[in-house]
Amino acid sequence: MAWHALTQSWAIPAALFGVIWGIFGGALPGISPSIAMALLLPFTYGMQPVVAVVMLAAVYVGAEYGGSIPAILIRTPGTNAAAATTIDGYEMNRQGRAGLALGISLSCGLIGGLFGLLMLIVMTEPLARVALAFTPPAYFALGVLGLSVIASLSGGSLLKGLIAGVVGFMVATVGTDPVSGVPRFTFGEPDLLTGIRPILVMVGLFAVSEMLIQVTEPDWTKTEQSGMRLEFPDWKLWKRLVPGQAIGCAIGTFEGVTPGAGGTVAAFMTYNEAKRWSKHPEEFGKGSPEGVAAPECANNVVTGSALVPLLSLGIPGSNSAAVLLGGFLIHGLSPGPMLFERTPDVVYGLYGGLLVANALMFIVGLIILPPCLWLVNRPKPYLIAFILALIFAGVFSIHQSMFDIGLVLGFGLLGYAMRHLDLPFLPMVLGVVLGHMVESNYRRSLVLSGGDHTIFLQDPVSLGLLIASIALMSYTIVRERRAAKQTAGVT
Amino acid sequence: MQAFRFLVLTFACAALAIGPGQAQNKYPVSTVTLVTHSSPGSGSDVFLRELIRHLGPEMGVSFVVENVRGGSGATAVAKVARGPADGSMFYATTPTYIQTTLLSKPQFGYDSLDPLVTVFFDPEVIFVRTESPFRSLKDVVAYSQKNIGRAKWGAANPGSLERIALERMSKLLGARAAIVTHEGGGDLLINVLNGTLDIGVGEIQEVSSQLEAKKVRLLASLTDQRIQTLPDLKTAKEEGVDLVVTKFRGLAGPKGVPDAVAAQWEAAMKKVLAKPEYKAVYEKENLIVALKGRAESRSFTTAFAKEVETTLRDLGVVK
Amino acid sequence: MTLSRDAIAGAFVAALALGYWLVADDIPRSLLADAVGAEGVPKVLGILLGALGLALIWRGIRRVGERGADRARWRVHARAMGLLAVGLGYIVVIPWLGFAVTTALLIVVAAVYAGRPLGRDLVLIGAVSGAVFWFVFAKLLSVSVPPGSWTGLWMGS
Repeated sequence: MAWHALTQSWAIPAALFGVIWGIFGGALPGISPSIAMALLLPFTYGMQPVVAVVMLAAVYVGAEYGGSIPAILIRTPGTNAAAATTIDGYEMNRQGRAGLALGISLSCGLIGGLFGLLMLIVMTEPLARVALAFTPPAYFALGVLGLSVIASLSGGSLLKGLIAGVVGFMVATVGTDPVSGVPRFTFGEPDLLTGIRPILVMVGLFAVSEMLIQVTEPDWTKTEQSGMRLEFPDWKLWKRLVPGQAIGCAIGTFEGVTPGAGGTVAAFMTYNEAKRWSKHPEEFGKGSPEGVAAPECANNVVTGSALVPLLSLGIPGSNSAAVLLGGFLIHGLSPGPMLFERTPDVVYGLYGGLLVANALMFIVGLIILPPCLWLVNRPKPYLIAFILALIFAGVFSIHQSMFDIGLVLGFGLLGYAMRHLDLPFLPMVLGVVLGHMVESNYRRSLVLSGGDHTIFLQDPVSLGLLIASIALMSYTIVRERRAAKQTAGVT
Repeated sequence: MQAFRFLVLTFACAALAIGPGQAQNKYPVSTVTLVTHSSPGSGSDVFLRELIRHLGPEMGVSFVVENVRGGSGATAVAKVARGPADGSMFYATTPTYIQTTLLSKPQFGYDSLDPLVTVFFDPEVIFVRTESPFRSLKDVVAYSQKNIGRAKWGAANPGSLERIALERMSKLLGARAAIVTHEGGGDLLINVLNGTLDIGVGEIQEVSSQLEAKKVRLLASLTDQRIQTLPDLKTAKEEGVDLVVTKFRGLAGPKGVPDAVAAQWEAAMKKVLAKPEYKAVYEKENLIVALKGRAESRSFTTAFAKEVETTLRDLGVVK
Repeated sequence: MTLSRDAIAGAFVAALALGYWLVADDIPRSLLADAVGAEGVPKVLGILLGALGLALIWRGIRRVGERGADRARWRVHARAMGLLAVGLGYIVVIPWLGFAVTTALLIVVAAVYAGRPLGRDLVLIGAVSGAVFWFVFAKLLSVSVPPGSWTGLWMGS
C-alpha cells in the first residue's frame, strides 16, 4: 500500500527535491532543519497530502545529514546537532582525511536514518509510552544528564568548561520567564521576548569567529590530493565503528522520543559514550573516525524516532516536528491516535517516503560531496566572502530580522574572544540548548510539589537519570585526572 | 529539475484557484497581503489560508499570506503599521498582539493599527484525561476546596489568557491551586495525559485528536453560551464558576484605511461565513462566529486591551 | 609584569557575572511568580559564574609567566574586528540598498578585505552572486527581503 501511494503520485520526485534542499539548507550555517522545512511549507499547500508530508520529512532527513558537511570541512556545524561532529571531523580534515570523514558521516547517517525509521515503524506503541512517562521532574533530570557531558567536553580544564557551560545557561535565560511570564534580560527589545535561538549562538560562535580568525591568517596550505577524494571505510575500520554506532542508535532512539533537546543532546551524549567504551579513547579529539561515526549516526536516528510522539500522540517533540505537524494540519490531517485508523495511506506513504528519502540522501551525498571538497579549496578570500553572505541571508530568512544578524555578529565576537582566552565552545552549546529545559522543569516540578525538593527523588525516572548523571560525571572526572597525570608524567 | 517545475506548476494552480472572480463592488486593489506573526502551519496560519480560499472569489482579489515572525508579533505589527493604507495590507489579529504591546512596549503597539473586522472567537475548554476521577467541573471545584493547595492545574503558556483565567479561578474558589505553565499546548497535553495534572485549559482544537480517540474528556467550556457544535458541554458559568476567556481572531490595518474598504470587508465576510463549504470547515474547528464591523471592533479591541492591562497590573506582571 | 591569559579571562568572566547578577536583581517581581521566582535561577548562575571567574583569576595569578598574554597581537585583533565591521556595515546599508545590492557589495568588500585584489572578475562575481542570492531567497523561497529604498525612488512612488 505504501508503495502504491508513493509510485502513483509525485512523492518520489518530491522526496528527491526535499532531500536536495534539505542537504543544501542543513549545510548552510543559519538554516536549521526546521527553518529549511518551514521555508518549503508554503509550497506544499497545493499538493496531495502524502506528497506534501513526504517532501517535508525528506527535508528533515537531508538537513540533519547536511549539517555535518561544513562541520567537517570548515569547522562550522550547519545544524545544532552537528556541533559534536566538528571535534573529530575537522581534526580529520586537518590531517588530510576529509574525504574519509565525509564518507563515514554519509554512510553512518544512512544507517542511523534507517534504524530510526525501523524504530518508528515497529516500536511506535511502546516508545509513545516512554514519551508519556516523562513528567517535569524527569525532564529536569534528563537535562542534568545532558549537562553532565560538559565534564568531558572541557578540553582539559574543567574550570573553563564549567564557565562556558554557565555562560551558555545564561544565554538560555534570556526571554519570557517560563513560569511568571515576565520578560528577562530583554532590555525592552521585542525580538528577545522569545529568547535567543541556539542556532544563532552556534553560527556566531563557530562560523563567524572562524571567519574572523581566518582573515588574520595567511592563505591555508592546500590539503593533500589523496584526502580530497571521497572515501568509505574499509572492512577493518568498519568493524571498529560498529560499537559507536550501536550506542548512537540506542541514545538517538531515546532522545528522539522524549520531546526536548533531541538530536543535539543525542549527538553529544553518544560522542561521550562512544569515547568511554572505545578501545582507542585516546584518539578522540585527535581525529578519531569513531568520533565522527557515533554522533552522525545518533542525529540521523532522531529523524525517525522524533516522529513517534508526533504521529502517535499528535505532540511535536521538536521544532522540526512542529513544522511537519503544520504540514499535516494544512491538509486537514490531524496527527494523533486516530491518524493510523483514519488515514493509513498517509502514514504508510510517509514510512515509504522516509525510506526513499534515506536512500536518496546517500545517492545525492555521493554526487555533491566531491564538488564540496573542491569548493573548500577555492582561494580563501572568496570562501570568507561567500560564507558570510550565506550566513547573513540564511539567518535573515529565519525571522526576517536584522536584529538576529546583529546577534550572530555579537556571538562571533564572543567566540573570537573565547578562542583567544582558551575557553571551549562545546560546553557553552550544551548550556544554551539545555538551560531552558533544566530551569523550566526544575521550577515546574517545585510548583507541583509545593516547594518540596524530594519530588526529584520520588519520581522513578528522575531518580534513575540523576543517579546515572552523577555516576557518569564522576567517572569522567576521575578518568580525565588520571589521563592528565599520565601525560604530565611523560613530559 | 523536474521536481522543481512540478513545484512551480502546483503553485501556479493554487494561485489560479484563488484568482479574481466577479464582484459587484470592485475592491480598490487587486492583491491583498495578510500578515501574520505565526509560523507557517500553525493554528492562525492555517486559519488564514483556509479563509482566503473562500474569500478570494467573493472579493475578486488575490490574497497573499505573509509570515512575519519575531518579536512575539511586534515585527509584524510594525510592518503593517508602516504599510500602505489603501486596503492592500492587513494584520491577522489575536490577543497576542495586545499582550506583547503591554509586556514589552514596542515602538508600534496594538494602538498603532486600526481594527477592521473581528471574525471568530476561539472557544476555550477545561479538559481531563479519560482515567481521571473528575466527571464534571463541580467535582474539580469540590476537590480543590477540600484539598486546599493540593490541586494541580495546567495552562499552555506563562503569560497566556488561559493562565490568567486559572489564577482567577483559584482565587475565586480559594483553592490555592498549583498552576503549572508549559511551552505550548503539546507539553501541557503530555502532563494531562500522564496524570501529572488534574486539569488542563486550552483551545478545543489543540485536544481534538485526543478527544476523538477518547483519551481526554471535556468538563466545561469557558464561553458565554454553550458551544453550538457541542451542545452537551456545560459552560463554566453554569457550573458555578464565573469564568469566560475570549480569544478573538480578526484583521487590523494601518491607520487611514477608507471606511468604504472596511464596509466591503464586512459585507464579504458576512457572505463567506454563510457559505456551507466554509461553514463546514470552521464548525469542525468549533470556532464561534463573532462578526463585528469596524466601529464595533474598535470599541471591542479597546475594551479588551484595557481589561488585559488591568489584570496584568493586578497580578504585578507589568508596572 | 604580563598578566596571564587566564587572569584576563577570569576578570572578563567575573565582570560578566556581576553585570548579569545586577540585571537579574532588577527583574520585576510578579504575583504570578513561583517560590523560586523569575530572578532565582539567574541569580544563582550569576554567583556561580562569579566564583568560577575568581577561581580562574586565582589560577592565573599563581601561574604568572607560564603563558604570557600576546603583546604585539593588537594588529591581528584589529584586522579581525575589521571584518566584523564589514558585517555591521551590511546591517546598516541593507535598508537603503536592498538585499541583492547589499549582498553583492558584501561579497566584493569582504573578498577585498581578505586579500583579493579588486578587479573586473571580482565585481562580476559579486554582481552575479547578488542576483543569484536574490533569486534563491526572495523568489524561490519567497522570503520577504528588504527591497531597498532606492527602488521606491526609482519607481517614482
